[in-house]
Amino acid sequence: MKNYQKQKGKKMDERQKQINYKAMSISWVFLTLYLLSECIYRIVNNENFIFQLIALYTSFGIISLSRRIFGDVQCPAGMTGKPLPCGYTKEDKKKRHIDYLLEGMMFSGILTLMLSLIFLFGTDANDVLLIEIFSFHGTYNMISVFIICVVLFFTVVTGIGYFACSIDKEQKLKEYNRICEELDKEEPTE
Amino acid sequence: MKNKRIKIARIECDMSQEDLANAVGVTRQTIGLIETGKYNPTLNLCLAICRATGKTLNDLFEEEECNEKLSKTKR
Repeated sequence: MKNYQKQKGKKMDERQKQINYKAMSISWVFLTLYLLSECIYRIVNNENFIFQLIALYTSFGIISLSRRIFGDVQCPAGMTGKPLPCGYTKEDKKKRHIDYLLEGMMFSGILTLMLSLIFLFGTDANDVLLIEIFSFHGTYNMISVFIICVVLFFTVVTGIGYFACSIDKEQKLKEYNRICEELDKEEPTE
Repeated sequence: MKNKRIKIARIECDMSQEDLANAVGVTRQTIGLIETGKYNPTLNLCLAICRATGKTLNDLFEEEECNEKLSKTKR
């Protein structure tokens, strides 16, 4: 147990630390919103937004990594925020994989929408590679090419999203179950 | 909810808020906020305050409603 006597002369006590953490969290939310709005602005204006996107993902990554380092391992949550079933029975696995698929679809949907915005409102719509391939020599009209591209892109990204999500969350689940088992072992036996 | 018991215990020990704050290693403001019920201290800080004032956790931090419920269940 911490000895509070030893904390004499230190600059911050627990309350001040809590206030600092809250302030930092608020500033992180502000920064995230700024990066998100900057991304959207750049997408609409057809400007390069890769650095903003990297910064956005890095900030989320740092938070996730820090939580793991500080030992906060939670049962992975589903799309609704509720914890997923942590067992290894067929039913539990099925429920989890349905959730991963839905999450992949949501991720894919957002990305498809963003790219559709680029195509519809961007000035250099023909830069999108698939559009160029399909509309080669004017074989298909632009609307059908656009629909094919959207469906194709959505399907592929959903697959990638599902795959990434299942790997990440199953890994977290294993870690969570391992820690729970360790804690069970450490319980004093009478 | 105000915590008068901490204030009384502190006065009984002839300590000011500043003295108690120094004894437990926090700021005077934190002690003031605990006494006025505007801040929930951690268990470690609660124990430190108990040690500094020579009281138990029950003496200083257990809520009266909780005490009543406990006594009812014991009956």
